[in-house]
Amino acid sequence: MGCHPHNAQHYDDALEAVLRERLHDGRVSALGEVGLDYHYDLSPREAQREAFRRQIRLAKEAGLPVVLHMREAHDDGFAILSEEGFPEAGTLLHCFNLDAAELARWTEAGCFIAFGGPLTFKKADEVREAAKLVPADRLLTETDAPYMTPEPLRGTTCGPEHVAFTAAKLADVRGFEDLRTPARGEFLRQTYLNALGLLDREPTAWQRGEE
Amino acid sequence: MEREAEPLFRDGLFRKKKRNGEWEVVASPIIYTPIADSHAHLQMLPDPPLSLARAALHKVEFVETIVDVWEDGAETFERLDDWAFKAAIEIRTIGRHC
Repeated sequence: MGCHPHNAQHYDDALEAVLRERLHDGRVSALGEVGLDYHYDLSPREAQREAFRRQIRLAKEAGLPVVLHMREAHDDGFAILSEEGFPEAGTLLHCFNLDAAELARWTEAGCFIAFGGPLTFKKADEVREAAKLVPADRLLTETDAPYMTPEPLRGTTCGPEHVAFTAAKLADVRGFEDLRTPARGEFLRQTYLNALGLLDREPTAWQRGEE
Repeated sequence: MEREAEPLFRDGLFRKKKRNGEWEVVASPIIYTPIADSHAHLQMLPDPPLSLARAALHKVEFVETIVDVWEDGAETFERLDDWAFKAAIEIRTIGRHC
């Protein structure tokens, strides 16, 4: 639950009040997706940066992790997070589709990295190279459904079930190609446990109204 | 031009459209352990309970759905539990047609 950078121009005190109310729902486990999108620039960049800053502060106040949407804005996004401080509950960089060089500072900062459909795209060797470098305890899988359908189904509507293709590709990329080996299953189970550890959480004290 | 709506197949199979317009079945990845979709927009899917049921058939045992405070309204909050309930029923139907 959060205000996407596309909608940042609408982020004001009134919208934040709605967000605060929603975040108190015990089913909410993270604040997101939030961040910066300089590709589409559907909100002015200054508005994006301000909404992002305010939501980082809110995540920290609520004790929740943040889920990041960053597109062509990683320098500014990382700078803002560094200034504000990464939330103790965790930071998840969603839909990673860049190379190993960009990946490094995020993993060094302890972020979780989620790979989706782009990991399977034919012309995305740099994403697969980056996926080899993420610490196993920081790796997650995702779809971004209904978008980002993985190969070989690109062009159709994506659903959460399609994450099976991305997970299988991720296991291959990490060197667990043999379906029969326990190591492949253990690796995939690790990505599952990473997701549970970060996102399948009990309501925070703030969400319960105890703070 | 608006893209033609895809048919909803009430089974657990994956399909892609051939040039002649027919939908052919694509082999499912072999996954033996639970996996997670850490980022989906359930309320944007044509049939969220069906999607959740299909996900369960493919070992996707955790789905995190994303809601935008400005544009998504309260639909997910109001309907999520109902979607999960209907998905549990749907599994019993589509599980027979994999």
